[in-house]
Amino acid sequence: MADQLLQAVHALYQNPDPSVKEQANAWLDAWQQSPEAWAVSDAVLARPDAGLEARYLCAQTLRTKITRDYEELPPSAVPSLRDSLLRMLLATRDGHAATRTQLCLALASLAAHLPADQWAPAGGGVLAWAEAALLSGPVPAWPLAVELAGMLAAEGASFQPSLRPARRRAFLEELLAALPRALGLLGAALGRPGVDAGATLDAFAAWLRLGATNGGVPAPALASAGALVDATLAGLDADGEDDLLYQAVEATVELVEEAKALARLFAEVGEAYTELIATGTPQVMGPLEAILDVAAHPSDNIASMSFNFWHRLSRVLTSGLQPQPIGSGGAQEGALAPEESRRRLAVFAPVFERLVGMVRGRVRFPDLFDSWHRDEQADFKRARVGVGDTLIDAATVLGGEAMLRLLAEPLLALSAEVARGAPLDWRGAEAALYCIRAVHRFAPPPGDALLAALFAALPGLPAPPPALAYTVALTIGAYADWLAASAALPGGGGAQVGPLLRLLVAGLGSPEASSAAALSIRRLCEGAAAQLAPELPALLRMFAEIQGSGDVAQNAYEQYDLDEEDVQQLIVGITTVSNTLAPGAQAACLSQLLETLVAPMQAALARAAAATRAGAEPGAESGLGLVVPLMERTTTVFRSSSDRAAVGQALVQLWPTIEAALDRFADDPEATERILRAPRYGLRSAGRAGAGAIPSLLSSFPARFAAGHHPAYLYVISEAIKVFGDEPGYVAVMEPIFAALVAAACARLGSLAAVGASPDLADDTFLLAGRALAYCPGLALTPGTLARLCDAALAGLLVQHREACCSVIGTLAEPGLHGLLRDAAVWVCANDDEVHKLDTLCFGNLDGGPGTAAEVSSLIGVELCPGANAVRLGLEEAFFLAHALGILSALWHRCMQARPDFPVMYLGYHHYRGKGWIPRTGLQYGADYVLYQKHPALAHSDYAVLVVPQFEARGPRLEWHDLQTANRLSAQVSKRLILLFVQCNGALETSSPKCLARFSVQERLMKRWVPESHRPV
Amino acid sequence: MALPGQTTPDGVPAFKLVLVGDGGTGKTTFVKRHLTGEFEKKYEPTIGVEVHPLDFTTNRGKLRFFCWDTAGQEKFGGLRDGYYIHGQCAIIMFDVTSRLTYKNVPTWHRDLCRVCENIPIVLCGNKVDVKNRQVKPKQVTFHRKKNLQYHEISAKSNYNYEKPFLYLARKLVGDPNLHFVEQVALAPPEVQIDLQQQQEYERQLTEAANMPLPDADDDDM
Repeated sequence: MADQLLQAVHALYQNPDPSVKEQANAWLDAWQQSPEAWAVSDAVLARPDAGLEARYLCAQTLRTKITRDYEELPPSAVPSLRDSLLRMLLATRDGHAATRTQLCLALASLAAHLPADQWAPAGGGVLAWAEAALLSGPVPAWPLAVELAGMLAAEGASFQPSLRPARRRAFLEELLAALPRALGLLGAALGRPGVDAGATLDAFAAWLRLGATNGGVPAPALASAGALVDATLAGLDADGEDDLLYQAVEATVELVEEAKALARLFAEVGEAYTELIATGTPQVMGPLEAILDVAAHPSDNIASMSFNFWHRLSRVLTSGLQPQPIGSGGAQEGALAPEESRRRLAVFAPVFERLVGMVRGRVRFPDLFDSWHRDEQADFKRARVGVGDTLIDAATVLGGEAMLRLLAEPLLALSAEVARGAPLDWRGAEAALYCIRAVHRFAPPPGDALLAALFAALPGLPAPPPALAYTVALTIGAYADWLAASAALPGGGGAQVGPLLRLLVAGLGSPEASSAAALSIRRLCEGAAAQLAPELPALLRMFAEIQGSGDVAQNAYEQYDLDEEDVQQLIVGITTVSNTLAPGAQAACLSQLLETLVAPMQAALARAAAATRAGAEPGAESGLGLVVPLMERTTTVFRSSSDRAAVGQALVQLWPTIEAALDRFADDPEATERILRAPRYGLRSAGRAGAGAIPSLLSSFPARFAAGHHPAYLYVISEAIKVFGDEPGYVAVMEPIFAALVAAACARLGSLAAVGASPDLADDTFLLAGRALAYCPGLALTPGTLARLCDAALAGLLVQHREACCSVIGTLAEPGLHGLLRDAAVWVCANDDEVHKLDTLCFGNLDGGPGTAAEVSSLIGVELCPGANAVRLGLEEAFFLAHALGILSALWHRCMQARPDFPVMYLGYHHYRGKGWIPRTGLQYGADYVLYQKHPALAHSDYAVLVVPQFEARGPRLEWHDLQTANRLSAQVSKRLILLFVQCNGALETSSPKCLARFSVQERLMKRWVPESHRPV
Repeated sequence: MALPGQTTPDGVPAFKLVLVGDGGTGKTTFVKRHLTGEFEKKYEPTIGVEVHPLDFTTNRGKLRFFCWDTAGQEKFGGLRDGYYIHGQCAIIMFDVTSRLTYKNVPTWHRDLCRVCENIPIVLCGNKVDVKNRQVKPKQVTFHRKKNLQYHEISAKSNYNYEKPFLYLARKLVGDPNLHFVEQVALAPPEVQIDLQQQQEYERQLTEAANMPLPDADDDDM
């Protein structure tokens, strides 16, 4: 057999004839699966004359058979197999690497099958055996030990199908128990002759990963791996000259890759052991140093790999909650004692201080930054953001004040240099400010002397370059609240907001810094409005000067080149400051602001009107393009002002301009919308003080809407209704207008396509209707208006919209539906249209055909309309319809007769229907109702409801096993169970529907409590 | 048959190429597009191994790959890594329409490296002509971790057919400027690939190459 094998191997690898190769392959395949292969492989491996290929194939065969056919092997043969493998392994220690690898794999597979005590009766398992077998000889085979150790960890993480689950678990336990031993072995192997450091680190990583995915590596084990940590650190020093790690690596590129891989390994290890490291025991300091070294790496890419770890560590340290490992005795678990938290923070504070020291310099702009490619610049800016986040993490641990001291250090050093006469290193100053800005949420208490001094020094910077001016502006904005709070302290707290504001205003002149300056001016104005009142004259001057920039094309003031957004920010800021003035002064200030805006608008509109009168098309020179942006700025003033009376008055004054602008831009929907924001926000700000504008509004806007159908008119009118809806005398004016608006709007919402084409119109129409219902209780909804609204709703929306629903009920009332109460259901005759409406809103079932309809109609004595069908309504459905219609006949009593518990059940129905759900009978699911979110044709119901009266009116109380049954059942049908408790407040008397008001309901969602899924993570 | 570093009787340098990857990823179809091999449409799982000589003509003369097309399916396993010995270069194939085949790439790579150390390896994502691919270009990161070459190919449309061979030939010969001088004789394409779409994928791939690697080993797949 052995000779045949050698021939076949030779044929497979060497014979040029494909058919011979194929034969050889088939023979070898069959042989490998035969039981003889064990012995033959063993024998061939021992033969000195066997070629390399044959030895490899035999080693591979033994490994394959141990993994696949272990059951073939009689237990008595196992020890001799193991000894044989060991012998052969030692024999190949300097031989063919692939054969050696296969033998190692074979031993690792054998370890998976053979329990630990059979490897080493004294304990220690396969590793102890391997140490004795491989390392005790005169020439210890360290490389073999390392290779085998790596394979064992990989074997523990793999899933051999031939291994029985119980043995797999036991094997994993054995490996985990051996983990410290393995790390110790690997640490000891490092640096021995012939041991490849890369392979050792790989094995190290494999063991760590095994531990990490199975509950963690004990701290002492990690500490014992100190040599490995050192080796990895050596790998991080990427000079590569005397470095054992890189002997095999040829190119510099690969060096960097290697360093990256090692850094990642450490960052990952750190992340996996964050909780362990957070204990702050001396053993964890080694790994912590390693991760600090990663953070200190000159490459941003590599350094940033550690950032996630620092984030996690800071979270663990500051959350105060210790995660609870599953299965640990829980008594001492839980929140850390305060002193332990304090101890940990004290241990880690120096670490985070060092971290800050390492990363704070990373945000410094490189000297040649401007010459970089745009992508590189973007990368750098991204890296800066990452550093900023890490500084925030550090600030959570160190606290704001300590953090500020650390970050201000470079600034103090710089100012000392400047004092000695050196030029300002603006990049250094910019970097320090960037860091300080990043941690602004952790600002020290107001009045902090260092921070105050810092801000006091800013206005003194001599003509900062744009990048510095930008960061200065953002820093002031970020600390606006702190500055305001400090300035409000007695004696000003050393913080002067005035000079800073002037600094920001100066920054508006620089194109790079202007956006940052505008934003920060707004923040400062909002934060320190009261303290900035003295600056108002300067602000008003600035207000006038900025009007020429942004979207207002005529750049009359060359000194500012701002985006429209920036102009808006500034307007908000200035108006906010003006809000702190005394009422009279405030109104004067507001009118001065508006004057600046309104005069150019009026002039432009007048010029355009003159041109049109002269028969010419107004050109660009008329300044028409200014009107809309200026109107929006006016809107911003309205929105930001707190003086209701002044805004109301201004709105009245502005009205002719609004009308003129609307006339001018009647054909431009977008401009119309933007112009209409002025009356909308004017009304909102003015409230009832805007009454003066209402007559003009009501005389103009409905007609404008009828002409152009711009939905924004509806919105403005709805705003007016919201403010004035409950004023007496207003209803009579409003009623016809409202009806006309709804008629005009609904005429354009006749079909699904029409609604889809103008969603804004649909939205604003229903907003108007909704606000009319909510804020204008006196407004009578005529059947005509309701019908139109509901037709529009039906046309476009197959949804549960409360108003639409009510409206539809109204339409059904028009022809008058008559029903027959029979048994516990109400039968109604309905024509096709009514059937469709009922079905759309999900009432009733079309259970009766024309025959039933004829029977019902004859019984109730109404004339049968052609094509009528009979719809069966549940009692609750029928009563809901009737109740909403307000035509309560004897239905209540009839319902009570049909079912004594009707009031309670109806209450549940009414509750959910009113919330927009569709309740249907829950009979099929052993519940009272099931709730649908959409029409039952479109969706399954989400909830099953049991109505539980809290008084004895409904037979026996709910028993535990009923609940259990209901819960089980609803879980089976993928519904969640709601218990609706009905309380009766007052006398239990149900003689009329009025009693419904005395009931109240309370919902409870039932859930199974599964301990595993409710464990705090 | 050539031994490592040997030549064919005609004096043409020959290299053993090992082709691995999950079953059904298109290894056999890929090999058989080369007209010196035969051509099959139907899917028949490879049993054990099939060895095909694939000839290419370069600016430095002819060269031959003995392509060991191995069985991807476990049940037709044959000798599996028994075939890898003496392998001088390798292609790992996965199917961009099947995530599982990409998930198994690390296993194939590990097994390969245990036998053949430091050989040039190309990772190939096959079937990019199929419209709904499951493995998006930016999800293919394994080659960057292991320093492999990656090519998107479509055996059916001949898209990028020669790219993996060109890379391997350059590495094996040690000449980065080596190129093929004759158009490789291929079976006519069965489908036309959407070139525009593919250019978009190639662009995404370049983009993805500049992204940081995901933290965990493809846990997101």
